[in-house]
Amino acid sequence: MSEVALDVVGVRKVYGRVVALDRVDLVVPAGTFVGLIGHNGAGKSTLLSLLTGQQRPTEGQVRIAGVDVHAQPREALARLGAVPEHPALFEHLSAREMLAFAAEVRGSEGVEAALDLTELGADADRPIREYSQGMRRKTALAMALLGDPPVIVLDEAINGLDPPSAARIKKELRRRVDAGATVLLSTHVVETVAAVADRVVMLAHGRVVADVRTTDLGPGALEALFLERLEAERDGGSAG
Amino acid sequence: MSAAPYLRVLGWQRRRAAAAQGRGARVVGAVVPLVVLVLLLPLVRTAFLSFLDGDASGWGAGLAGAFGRAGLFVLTVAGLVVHATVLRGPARAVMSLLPVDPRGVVTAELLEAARRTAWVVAGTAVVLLPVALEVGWAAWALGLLVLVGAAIAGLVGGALALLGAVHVADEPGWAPALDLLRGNNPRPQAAIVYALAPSTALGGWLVLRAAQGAVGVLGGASDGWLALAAPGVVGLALLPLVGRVADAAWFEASVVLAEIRARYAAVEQEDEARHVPLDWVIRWLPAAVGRWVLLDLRYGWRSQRAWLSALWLLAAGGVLLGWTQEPSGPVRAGLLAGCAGWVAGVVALLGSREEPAFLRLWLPRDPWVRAAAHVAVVVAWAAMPALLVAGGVALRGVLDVGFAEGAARALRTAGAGLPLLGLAGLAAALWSTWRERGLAPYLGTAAVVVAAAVGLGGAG
Repeated sequence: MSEVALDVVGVRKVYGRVVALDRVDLVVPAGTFVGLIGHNGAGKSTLLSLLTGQQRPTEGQVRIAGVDVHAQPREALARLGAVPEHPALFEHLSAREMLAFAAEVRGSEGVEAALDLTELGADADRPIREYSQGMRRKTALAMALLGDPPVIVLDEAINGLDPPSAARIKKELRRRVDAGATVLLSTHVVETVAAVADRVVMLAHGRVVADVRTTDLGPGALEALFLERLEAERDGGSAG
Repeated sequence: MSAAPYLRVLGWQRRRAAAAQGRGARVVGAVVPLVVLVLLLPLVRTAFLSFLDGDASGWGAGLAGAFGRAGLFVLTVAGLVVHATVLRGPARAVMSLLPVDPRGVVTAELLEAARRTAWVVAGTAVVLLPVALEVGWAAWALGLLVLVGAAIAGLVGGALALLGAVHVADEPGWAPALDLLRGNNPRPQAAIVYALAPSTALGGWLVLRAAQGAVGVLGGASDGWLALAAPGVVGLALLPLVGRVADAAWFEASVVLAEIRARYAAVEQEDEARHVPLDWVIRWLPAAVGRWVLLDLRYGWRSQRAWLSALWLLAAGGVLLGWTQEPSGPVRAGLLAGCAGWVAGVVALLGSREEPAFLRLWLPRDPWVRAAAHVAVVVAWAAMPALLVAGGVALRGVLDVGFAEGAARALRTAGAGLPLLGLAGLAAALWSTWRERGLAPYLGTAAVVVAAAVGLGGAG
């Protein structure tokens, strides 16, 4: 596996006259837990959709574990587990069938372990269309973790889970990072990032305005830094 | 990896979705097509098979025409089914985040499209049954071969054209051509919307030749088999190419479709945050109706623009039909313009089907007001292309004879088209009260009414 798990080089994303991302550079070494935070419309979901190959950058390049996401999408997806903001699932399949399908596609096993981790076991044979939003999110999370992908990208995937489930998932993600995987977790909730991430990247108006290690910050400092950088960006201050 | 896992999950989805509808809906789903076929049989006999009333020596040309038209219908539907299944199928959102085998996925989706198209082939063969009863079963079987060949050509040609369009969607070399076609759509949308035109034109040529071949075979000409088999054989021969194009374009298609959605969103944020075409009509409507009209207009314009584009294609066809000195020209043009109303009705039906549940559950609304809004929107959408048709037909009359003739031709066009258009609005309003179950009976009603109008127009 490449030493660099996520490599975003000079990425710009423009829709008509709207600049969603402006010259974003992000290099994440393997074995890092990155928290991605930003206000609504900062460009977090756009960045994640570029990482998962769902959209193409107007300029720049995106690589997952050394593989160009747009030149070799299938190879990149084989190295990636992803949960988008609104996960799409086969509504008439059960979670067990959905996971079995994903495992077959990935050439992996571990369906039962993924069901146990997300505590979907009791409902695993019910159709997904009967699930609550939280259960749907758990199913998508279980799919993303199947086959131990080296890179995991999660868009607001832990928000909305009940606290015990969220704690268990965070612990599992931490365990995987310690074993060499890389996690990028996008969220509005600063506390979540402060608790689990090694590094925090802040986006504001499509630009990276801060990129810091959480160990360099004291308690409560992350939220203060976020608000300060956001204010500076709003006032036309330079990115930091 | 083979297509097996993809076939399996698509099959589960389809069967369980049908089972989840409930017994009543399943019965309606089975009965409505049968009723439609029974009603269509005499109408098709009158509109398309009237040559059977004449001398048997004229049956050859009549059969070639009937088989050709039926084949073109199947070919077109097959292409649209591929569009809805392979390119914009609901499975794409799930699979595009997994390292799926594009060949396997497209193979499974094409088989799913073939399964859906088989019903269209079967239904079309049923309405051609008068050929079997009055000419002979051999003639009918040859017609069936034309339909099967058309289906294969439509499925394979549609897949190649649509996946190929993904390739050219953002190619700078294609930009000038796409700019000519796209109007205010993004280029990739234009590439995808018009992709089926060349494949349908080429497939249509083969299908019309096959129809003539069928008649040749019926007359004992063994070389007719070659033309008869051509659409199916060419389609099957091109099938391996689909796999290669899928490898190159399946993942890219997800990107292109996301880009199209995002570009519309960006455009809407800037220029269309509040405005959509025809939204000014609400000025003249009561406020209670106007707010629902605005909802339909916004939904149709932003989510179902392909259907609304089809209205203008129908209008262009109407102008071509009416651009003739034949007395029947204005009536035929009017009938085609009236059909545009039924296409517009589909958008209103889809709007009702996809309306968020909270609108029905938590907001008070009068069903008659909602129905009135559907009628208003269907008529508003269809009125502009209908005016184009009437104007084109009138212009031909003015150029040929003078203003009086132009006005008379426009009136004949309106007389033929307006009742169809009005009925479309009423049917859309009526069946939209059934929400997701209303689409099938609406389409059935459309088939019967349009066939009846065509039959009456032909008889007239």
